[in-house]
Amino acid sequence: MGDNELKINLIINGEQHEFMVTPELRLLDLLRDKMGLLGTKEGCGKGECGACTVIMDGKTVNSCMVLAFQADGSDILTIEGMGTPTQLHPIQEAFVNNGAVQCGYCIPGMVLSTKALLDKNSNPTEEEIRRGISGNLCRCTGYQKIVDAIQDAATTYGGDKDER
Amino acid sequence: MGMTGFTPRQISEALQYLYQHGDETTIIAGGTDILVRFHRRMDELKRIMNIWNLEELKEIKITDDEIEVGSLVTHTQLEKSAIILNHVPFLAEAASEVGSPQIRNRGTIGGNVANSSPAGDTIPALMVLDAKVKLISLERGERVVSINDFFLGPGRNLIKKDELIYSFIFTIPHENYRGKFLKLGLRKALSISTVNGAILVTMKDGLINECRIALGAVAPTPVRVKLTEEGLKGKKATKEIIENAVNFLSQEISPISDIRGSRQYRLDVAKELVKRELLNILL
Repeated sequence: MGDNELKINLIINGEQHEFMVTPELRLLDLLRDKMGLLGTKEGCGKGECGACTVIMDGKTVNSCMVLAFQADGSDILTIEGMGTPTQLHPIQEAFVNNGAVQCGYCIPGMVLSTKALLDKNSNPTEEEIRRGISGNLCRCTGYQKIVDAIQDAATTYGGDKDER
Repeated sequence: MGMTGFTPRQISEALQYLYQHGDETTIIAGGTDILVRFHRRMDELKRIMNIWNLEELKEIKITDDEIEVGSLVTHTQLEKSAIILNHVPFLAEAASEVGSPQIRNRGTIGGNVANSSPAGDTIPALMVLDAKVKLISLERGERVVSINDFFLGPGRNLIKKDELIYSFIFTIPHENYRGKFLKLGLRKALSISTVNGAILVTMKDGLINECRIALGAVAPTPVRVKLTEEGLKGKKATKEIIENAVNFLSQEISPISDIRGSRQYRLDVAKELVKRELLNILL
């Protein structure tokens, strides 16, 4: 352990964790390398693509642009905290049902941006949906089906009222 | 031993840290600029001070005639603030055009200004509001400088090594003013402006009274275009007056060519954007 390490506490997917981190460690690296939560992807590493999106204290952030020590004391939701393979979250269900998933790389970020959107606005217009996912790029360009899935999800998932 | 990280809980702690280590400290708030600039070379930094938790800097306050926006107010907060939407909607609009939802949730107005990119989207809005930047330090306490004197060049400004931006303060514009944010980007989201700007105009007895125009991404710093402003002040708003006034722009901006547009394109587009918006709000 280096003497520049900092002790931080995080709630990740509902569970309390304590870590020793170097100041340059990104939240993204903590989630992937220290926690093995590989659903959070690294795309560009510069906040352009949204593949590393997680929800931090109720708001979406690019986890490549948050230093882990800055997240001390916060509550993080990653895709692993949304649903399980046998019990999908209604948003994930809607993505499957609408064929919104192609290569899948952008989908964890898309699903979390969708959750943040629907938690604030349970009945978004198409324009609000497109704006809500404007920080998430899909290189398969499957946007139309993703938008369809989010419209569908809005009917089954009313949003988490606590997040409003 | 690598970089040192520090999270002050109080402003006084932050100022004390800067007083001692300001020369080698990089201040980080939302990180949306710092982590791009130092991508894969964070090890070049000696000390990083995380000011994200300084709650006192996250407020938007209104008094009788002034609004004070704390430096840690995020773009998301600006975009949704009732005070900002009621009194200076063009500032909310500027904030809403920054990056993406994820970036607006972390990026702050203080960071946008401190980063001092010529293309920072909230800066022209602050410039037409004649905003004052309140800086604080341990040794000298508070000092206030005009946003219009604040920038020295791309990424360069008047902040000293031991200072922190506390807030931005501006007089609430006259009730019947018209204000507008301008942006031309290469796409709708996540675009760094090719040209941006803001306009604030008031009328008196049928004539243009106050007229403030600021443009970004067309010079080494965001600029107020005073010749164009003077060409409009005291005049009756007509198509001819506006067309004549915007011709001054080519004398007062000096865009460069880069991946987002050529020098000539930026000159033409700046002129056209300003003309179009002036026609729109005045006629």
